[in-house]
Amino acid sequence: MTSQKRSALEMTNSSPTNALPIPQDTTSRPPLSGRQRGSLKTLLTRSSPFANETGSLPIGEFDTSNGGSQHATSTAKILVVGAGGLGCEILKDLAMSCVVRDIVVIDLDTIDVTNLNRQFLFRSKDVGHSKAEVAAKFINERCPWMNVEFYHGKIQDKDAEFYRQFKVVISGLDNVEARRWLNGMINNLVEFDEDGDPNPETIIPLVDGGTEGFSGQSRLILPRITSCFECSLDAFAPTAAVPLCTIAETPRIPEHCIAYAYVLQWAKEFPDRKLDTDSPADMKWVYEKALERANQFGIGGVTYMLTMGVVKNIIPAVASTNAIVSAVCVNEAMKVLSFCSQSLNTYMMYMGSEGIHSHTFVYEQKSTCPVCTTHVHRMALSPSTTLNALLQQLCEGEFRLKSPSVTSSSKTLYMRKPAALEKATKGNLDKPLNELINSGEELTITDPVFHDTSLQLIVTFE
Amino acid sequence: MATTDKYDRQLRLWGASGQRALGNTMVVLLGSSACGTETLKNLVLPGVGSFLVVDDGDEASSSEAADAAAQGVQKCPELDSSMLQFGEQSSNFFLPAPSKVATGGDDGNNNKKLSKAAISCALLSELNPDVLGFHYTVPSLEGLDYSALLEKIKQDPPSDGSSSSATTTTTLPQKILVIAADQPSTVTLPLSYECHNRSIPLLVVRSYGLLGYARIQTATPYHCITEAKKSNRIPDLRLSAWPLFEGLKNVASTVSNLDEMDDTKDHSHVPFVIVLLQALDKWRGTVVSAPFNPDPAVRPRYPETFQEKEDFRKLVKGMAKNLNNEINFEESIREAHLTWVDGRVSDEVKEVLDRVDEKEFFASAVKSEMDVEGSATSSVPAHVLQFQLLALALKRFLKQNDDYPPLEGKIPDMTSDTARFVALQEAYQKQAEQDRATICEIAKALLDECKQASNGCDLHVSIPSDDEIVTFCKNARYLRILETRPLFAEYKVQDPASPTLSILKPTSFENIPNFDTIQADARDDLQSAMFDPYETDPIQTPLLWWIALRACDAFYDRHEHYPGKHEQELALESDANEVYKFMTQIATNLGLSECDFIKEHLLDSSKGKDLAREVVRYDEAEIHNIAAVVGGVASQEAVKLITGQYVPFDDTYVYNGIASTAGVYRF
Repeated sequence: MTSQKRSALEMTNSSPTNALPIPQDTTSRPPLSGRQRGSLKTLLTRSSPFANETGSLPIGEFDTSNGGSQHATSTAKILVVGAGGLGCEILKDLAMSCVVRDIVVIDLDTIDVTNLNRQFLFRSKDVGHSKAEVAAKFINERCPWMNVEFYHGKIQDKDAEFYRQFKVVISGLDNVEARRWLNGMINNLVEFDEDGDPNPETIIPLVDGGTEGFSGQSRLILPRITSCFECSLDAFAPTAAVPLCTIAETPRIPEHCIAYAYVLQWAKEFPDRKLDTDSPADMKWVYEKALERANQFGIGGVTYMLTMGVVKNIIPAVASTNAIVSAVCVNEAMKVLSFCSQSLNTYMMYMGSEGIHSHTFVYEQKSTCPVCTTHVHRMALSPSTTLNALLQQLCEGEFRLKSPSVTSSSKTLYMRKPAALEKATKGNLDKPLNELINSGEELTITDPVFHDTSLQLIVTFE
Repeated sequence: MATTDKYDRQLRLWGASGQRALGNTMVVLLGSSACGTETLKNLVLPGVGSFLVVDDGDEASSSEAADAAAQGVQKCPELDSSMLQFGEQSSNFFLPAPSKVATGGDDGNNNKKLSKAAISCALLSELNPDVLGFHYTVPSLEGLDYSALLEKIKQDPPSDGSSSSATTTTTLPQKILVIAADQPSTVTLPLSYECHNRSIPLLVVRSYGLLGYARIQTATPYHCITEAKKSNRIPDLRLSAWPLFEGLKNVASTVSNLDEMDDTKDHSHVPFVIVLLQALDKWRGTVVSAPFNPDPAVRPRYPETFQEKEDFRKLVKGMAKNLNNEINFEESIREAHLTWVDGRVSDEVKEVLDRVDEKEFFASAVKSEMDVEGSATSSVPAHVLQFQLLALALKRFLKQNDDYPPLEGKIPDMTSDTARFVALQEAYQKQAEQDRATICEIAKALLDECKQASNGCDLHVSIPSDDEIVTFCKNARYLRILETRPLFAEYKVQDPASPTLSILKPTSFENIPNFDTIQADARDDLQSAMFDPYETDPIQTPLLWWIALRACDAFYDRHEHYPGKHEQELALESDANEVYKFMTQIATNLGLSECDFIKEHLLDSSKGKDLAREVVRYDEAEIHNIAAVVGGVASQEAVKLITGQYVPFDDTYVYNGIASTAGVYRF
């Protein structure tokens, strides 16, 4: 060994920690790591008995003749929604697949220290900065062939024109509401021909992933062809809230004391200031009040960690589950862009606490889905039901709307925006339905939970 | 940010004890392929103590590799830009594929000198400053003396030098987990054998085209699971244990007859536990002709038949004043089954306890006179001895307590006024503490007996900490052990320690070294797995693809390269024919040749050969997404193996990235 070689190692390392070499079999062979393995290019240039068109969800025909070049010169653009636990993985996986160079990543969040155990494109120096920006920079630097643009903001800031530019959308969101909105938007981009068939050019595959602890799911949504996120809303049931009277009068477990502190006591003590869940001072205040109340009732178990968990509704998250779900999603994106293999039809569930249970199945379209079907819903109500009561029902029932607006075929019954229209229609809220509509009249309900999607509802009087 | 703990989100899963276990573990990765670095990434991020990347040198610079090997285990080099020359064909985020820029420049020297192990070590270390990275380059992973390697790591684990070589470390002995990534059987078999002999858990991970798998080999004698973290735990209320424990009886007696309770608010705040106990007394009055006499010596009646259970629920319903306003009665009806559910330990736990034996424990716990001072180690690892000690204590406890384990001491939230709920909670907690104290006493007695039997010799095991006893007792109903079959036992080779290629090399298709010795129960498991194929498209059932992968391994053993190396149509088809022959042979060796499903989808060559053609197409391609899926799965299992929490799978997880199906099989 030359002294030059030696010094290069010594500059970066201190002296060898374990100087003794491990004995090696004398019959040893050339290094295994030097062997040439195939790559994605191999797959793209060789035909397959399991090409995309042979699968149970055929989307396109695999063509090896332009396989290699197609992948190198592709002008397709991919949208990655979320630059968090899933987003970081998705960006890396895309860069390492290299079926597409141009990516846009959206995230409204900034980096928190608790992200660092899994969001591996961030370091402690990045805390406080935009997730989308830091993630995009990291990928562009390490993978110079990639061109990742970022947007630090809400998905709702962008319009249909923006979403239309992408060949595939991959969503790694951590909340149901954003996923509903995005799903509504992508479904709405589909245009139909005279026969009412969807125009394939306007169908943008949406690959959606989600995790919680050691479990997660990945799915492929072909808008208007497969089931959509809204079809499976029931599977993402909101957790039942604790009744307020329990919190106020008969607390039993630490969670009740914490809820008392941050729901009731905070509002009383600071009527003009919203609790900042990222502020250690605010959270400490909540914790101390909760502890005080717990002691008063002889309830144990209030800790700062639990307080954080309850107030912020923290879902445990680890690197491994994010890696699995993201890679399954990007694998689907890769296949749907190259047709080099079959597509996931349509849902893969993964549960990893007790052994591993995974289940791949066709998630059926819900025939009454307000987003991906044109189903007209029916409701029988008493004629004296107020418009407000109807709206309430739309929020609490199966539709889980947030702030619906209603129009009938002839007039606007209630509109939340603009303010002037809200003011003008507000009076209708307390009116009974029979003063506003006829029995059997079809209403159009819109709501910000879906982008630009309306729900058709026929109300008949009982 | 309201917390400064970057591990907050995972501590909510495995807690401080799990985090300590991680921090006390060294992960040894053999092979820096994407599958390996992705697995390691997910262990470096959550804070494993240290890691060592072992790989062989580039063929181009084998003399340099030999130099590096001569230097032994190295500390992580500092990251510099020369390591970040990623080329477009990269499929490994922590090891650049040599790009044209990197190899072309006149300064290429610098880059060349660092081995794959060194570069991936540097890139992985950068993820988490808490984790110590080491690397070691050998001339070839094939033929490496794994016995010496593992022994050395065990005896003299690499350290950052800050604590020097002096034995200043008072912490627990470091645990080791080995991961072999994308290695042929000439590497995995001796490794499997040596890990097995040293009680080191092993994970074998593989990504191959659109397919991948992870295989677990537990440490000997078995992997102990105290905290299985079962999702649907049945509340441990002991309503059907007779007689009721004192504390519960006392709290129950503070509530007067519900039917005579006038205060409606009070009535609607009696916890369901007490409602059910009163209802039970009432129900007994309806089924026993003689007036109900609570004689503590005689176990009274409980609803048994479907009809009795229905009647009981009806009776509870009838006790409500106004069901719509009484959530506690709604809960009572919903939780009525807790009145008769058997609180004794399950057969599964009994099976675990059947595996521990006092005599065997005594024998392995005693430090033998043969042990040289300082190197006194038992063949059974200390944490297993501790588990066995508590399991034996539990066994004696069950004998004294009609198979009822120590009370968990936790009650679910239920509608109640605060005072009664707190009183109830206290009663359960107090009884649980009492039970724990008993377990502790038994464990102490066991150790005393053990000492006596050995004439006062020192022991390898002592009384566990209070925290450990609490955890054990709280989870006594869900104890598990997992013992996988060692990987080398899947193969019929004379000497698994050095299965030279000449042994592996099949001379004919009939004697490929696969599965001649598959266990009968595993055979049954596989056959029953065939009754549950992937419904949408049965050919995408992962087991079929696993057989195809194993056939590729057999192909490698024979040819020293994987099938599909040559692109010409004829070469591909000829490789496919050979792979297919191996597949049919492996299916037969697995005992599956009579299975209808295998006959239809594999043995029928019109279908089965497509499987072979597909794997031949891959030319062992490294596809990042597949490596990342397998890496995610493997790292999750690694966390389970390290922390003793959750339940690892038994023993092979197969991911089929063609249709995105997955399955777990036991071989």
